[in-house]
This record gives sequence, C-alpha cells and structure tokens, in this order.
Amino acid sequence: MEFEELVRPHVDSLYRTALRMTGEGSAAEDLVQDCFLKAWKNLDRFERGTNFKAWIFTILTNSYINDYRRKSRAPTMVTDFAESEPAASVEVPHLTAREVDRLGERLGDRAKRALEKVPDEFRLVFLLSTIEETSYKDIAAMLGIPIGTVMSRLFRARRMLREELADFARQEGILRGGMGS
Amino acid sequence: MMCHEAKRQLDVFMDGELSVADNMKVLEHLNLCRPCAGVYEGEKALRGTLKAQLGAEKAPASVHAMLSRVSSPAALVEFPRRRWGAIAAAVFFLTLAGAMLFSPGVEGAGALASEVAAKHDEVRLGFCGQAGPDCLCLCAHCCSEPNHPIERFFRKHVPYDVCDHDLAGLGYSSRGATVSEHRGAPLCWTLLRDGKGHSITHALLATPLALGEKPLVFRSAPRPVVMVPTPGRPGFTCVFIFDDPGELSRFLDLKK
Repeated sequence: MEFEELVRPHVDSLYRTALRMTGEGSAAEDLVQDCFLKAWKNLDRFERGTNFKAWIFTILTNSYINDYRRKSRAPTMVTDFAESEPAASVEVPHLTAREVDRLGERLGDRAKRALEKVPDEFRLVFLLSTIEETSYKDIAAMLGIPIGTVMSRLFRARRMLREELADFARQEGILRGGMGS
Repeated sequence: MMCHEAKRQLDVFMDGELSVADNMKVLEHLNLCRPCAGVYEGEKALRGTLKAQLGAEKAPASVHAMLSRVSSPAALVEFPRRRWGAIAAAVFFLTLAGAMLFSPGVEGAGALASEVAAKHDEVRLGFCGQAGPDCLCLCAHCCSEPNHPIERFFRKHVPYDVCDHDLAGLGYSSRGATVSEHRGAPLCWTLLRDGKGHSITHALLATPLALGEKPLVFRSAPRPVVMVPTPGRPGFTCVFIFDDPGELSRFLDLKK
C-alpha cells in the first residue's frame, strides 16, 4: 500500500501532464500506466525523504521523451539554435486583468489549442512550472537540463502562448490596436 | 528598479524563484508603480485563467484503478502490457511449424488474402470489448487481467517483439486481441483503433510469401487487405485488414 499512498496525490498531475503532452486520452493513460509500472519496479531506487513528486515525474517525462515521442511520426525537437536564439525585440502585449476576464469568458478550448502549438520541450517545462507548480530546480533535475535552460524554455513557451492569446484577444475585439505594453 | 527591469523579472518573481533581495526590489517597485502593478494583476489573472483551462482535468477512474492494480505484488510479475507488436509477434513463434507446411508464391497471395479477410469477419465479432475467455480487451479498463488465458498464452510464447510495424505514429493503439485457428496453427489478431474511430485489424501469418519489399494491396477481397513482409523475417507476412475501401485509402494516404 505504501507505493499507492506515495503515488495517489500525484495521479491527477501525472495524467494531466501526459494528456497535454500526448493530446489524447488513451495515449495519456498508456503513458501513465508505463510510469506506474516503472516506478513500482524501481521503487527501491527512490531515496526516502527526498521529493517523490520530482522522482515520479522524472519517470513520466523520460517515458514520454524516450518511448512515446520516439514512436510518434513527427517528433518536435528543439534545436540548439532555438535554445540560444535571442529573444525577439518586439514586446508581446500584456493584457489587463479586466481584459483577461473577458478573454476567459470566450476562450473555450483556445488555450489548449494554443498550447499544442508550443514545441514539446517548451510545453513540458511550462506545464511542470505553471500548471503543476514545480520549482525550476526540480524541473531541471527531472529533465536533466540546467536551470538556465529551464528558464529560457519557460520564457519562450510563455511568449508563444501570450502571442496566441493576444491574437485571439484582437480577433474578439478585446485587445485593440497593435503592441501595447 | 526601472519598469523594464521589473517587467523582465515579473515571471520569475511570480514563479517564486527570485533571490530574497531581488524579490524585495520587485515588490517595492510594484508598490510604487501603478502601470507595472496593472501588468502584474493582468499576468496574475492570465495565469489563473490558464490554470483553470489547462490544469482542471482529473485522472479518470481507470487510471486510479490502474494504480491499485500496479501496486499489488502480483502485478509486478503478471501485469499485462499493451503491446500489439508483441501480441502480433506471438504468431511468429506459434505458427513456425505450420509455416513450413505450405509456401504459396505471390500468385497464392490473393487466395490467402481472401481467406484471411473472410476469417477476419468471424474473428472481428470476437473482439468483445471486455475481457472474456477467448478475447483480451487491451483498453485501459480491462487490460490488467493477470491470469487471462490469452495473456498467459502470450507470456508463455512471446519472449520479445518480432513484428515492428508500429502504427502508434499514425495514431492507432491496440484495443483488443483474440486468437483463432488458421490452417491448423493458432493465429493471433489485434484490433487497432485511433482516436477518431478508424479501425485496422492486424495479424501476422507464418506464410513464406515471396512478396519482395513492396506491400501487396488487395482491394477486391471480402474486405480490403494489405500484405506486408515482416522486416528482417523473410517468409512471414503481416496482414492488415480494413473495414472498407475508404479505410484502406485513408491508411495508404497516412503511410505516404
């Protein structure tokens, strides 16, 4: 029962992350099942007293990167160029709280579709950080990347999402004109 | 702190990842600068909206059930995996002897396609959608029947994957498997389906057809059939059976 007690609080987070990465419920269930099995088989490698959430998410993200995505037809890869690309000089507009409220009422599944456009590596970092509230340090450990890379991926994921949502806000007449700040 | 610095650090501030000193500087600035405080409020609202949109789903009951099954000690040994490649591969071993009994050439492939397509009609009815004595459902709800006869059957005879015609990249995943008899040898079938309801049945035949490298497409069999040589296993043939010509065309388009 101890394994179940350790995992149970994270089941929703694991499933949600898998769902947002694979985009399909049955694929997400496969990925989470694979994660459970690997975690169960390797439980003796988990150091008691350390962060279990980080440990099991490491298994999930590795399964996604090494198993699931490798099988997908057109894996999205972040190139070194993309990692080191300087930030665009054009500032993405910030929405006011009132504009966000209006946007939220009309958003529908637009946020999901916007997120799907974000490349895998950026999306994964965004989900772990902003949706699942994981620290940069834990994300870096989960993905085996430096904290600086976590920050740059997060920056880009947020920028892409803001651009998409700002476009939508303009289409809906919520955000007027060009680039504000 | 200037406005542009505060905005640049705003995301890291909101993530709670700034040093204590930098955190204080941003806080001070937000208290003094109304426009930046407005930006902060907007960003806070946007995060709340995104979290509500993207972070609200709960895992379905099947995932919770999966966890309970995995954490039972027996599951470590017996927990079945969804692996249509391995399931299809069973045929390689199980029909090895049967394969030697006949070896039609390409000219025999048409007859075999008709035979398999006709057989498929019977077998397809056997995909019950639930675990039964002669049908193993591979969906998330019933895939963990450790002592299911078909699961034991695979476990005993399939030491590793043989067939690597992986259709996961085309969006298909295995939904059910069943076993039938074909020319005196047990034959395993796997039903694959994608998220939009398109289906393909896959079987692996131990028939040494001289197919060459190109797949053979039979549109006029009782159901459309594509025969593909198994990579690295000459003499064995993967068979994909489609519900109708439309499904076949769709599959061929995807494979292009």
